[in-house]
Amino acid sequence: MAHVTGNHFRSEGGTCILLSTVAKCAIVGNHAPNISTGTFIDWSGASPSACIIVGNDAPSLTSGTFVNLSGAAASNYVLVADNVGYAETISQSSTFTVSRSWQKHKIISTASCSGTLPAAVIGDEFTFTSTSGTLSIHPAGTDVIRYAGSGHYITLGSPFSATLRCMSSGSWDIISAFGTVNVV
Amino acid sequence: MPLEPGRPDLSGGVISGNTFVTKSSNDSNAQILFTSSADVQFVDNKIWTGGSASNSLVSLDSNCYSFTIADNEFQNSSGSYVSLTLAGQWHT
Repeated sequence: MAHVTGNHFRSEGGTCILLSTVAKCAIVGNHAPNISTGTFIDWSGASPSACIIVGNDAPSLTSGTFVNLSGAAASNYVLVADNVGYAETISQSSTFTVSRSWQKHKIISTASCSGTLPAAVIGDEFTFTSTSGTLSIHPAGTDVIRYAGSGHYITLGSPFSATLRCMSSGSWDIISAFGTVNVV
Repeated sequence: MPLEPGRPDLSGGVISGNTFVTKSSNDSNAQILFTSSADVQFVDNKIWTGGSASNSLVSLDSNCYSFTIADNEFQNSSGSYVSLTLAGQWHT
């Protein structure tokens, strides 16, 4: 196992970390505050058999790629969690499940789709952005989104951005929003 | 104390606490290249380019494995290039 941890990249673009033939690696707590383009972590040249990419940040990355894992098969052991600046992009009309590991990620839908939140645990927080179509957000099980009431969900039009936080167990509050929230 | 960049080839080594100020604007190789190295620890160094280095600041080639790259600072003078290339760990 290789370890790449706690490094600071001052560059404003390019590739910070290129893993060309590495099969297993933990990439944790690396910082690239200045890059706005390029690729922070490029793992496209090999097939990662196991990798952990956790707690890295590239907050200024607006037109580049946070991590390229195009070589990883679905069966590979890959964990990407709690990276600031990382985007979870839902690009097809579909249903999806929001993972707790997406909390610091940008969750961006580019087509009409429907997502289900994880069980509401106090302190959990997710930010959603819809750039096209309608994004539906459902609470899990008997959880509620406050003011929507039990058995209801919300839809967000486009463009839209909203942040939900769990303030009490089993309940989500919309703590910030741009646009209109519709209760269904 | 600033050190000239080099091409370390070591086993079980630790390179820590150095400042590498690279000089080249047209060097076609990595500024710091590890070859055939095992159990490398590259920790708490500063690696800055003085020109527009055309390749990686630090590169570990295909014979390296079990490496740790931690708490370093990388500064490329241009935004177009790779800071850290890892090619050396392929064990399943």
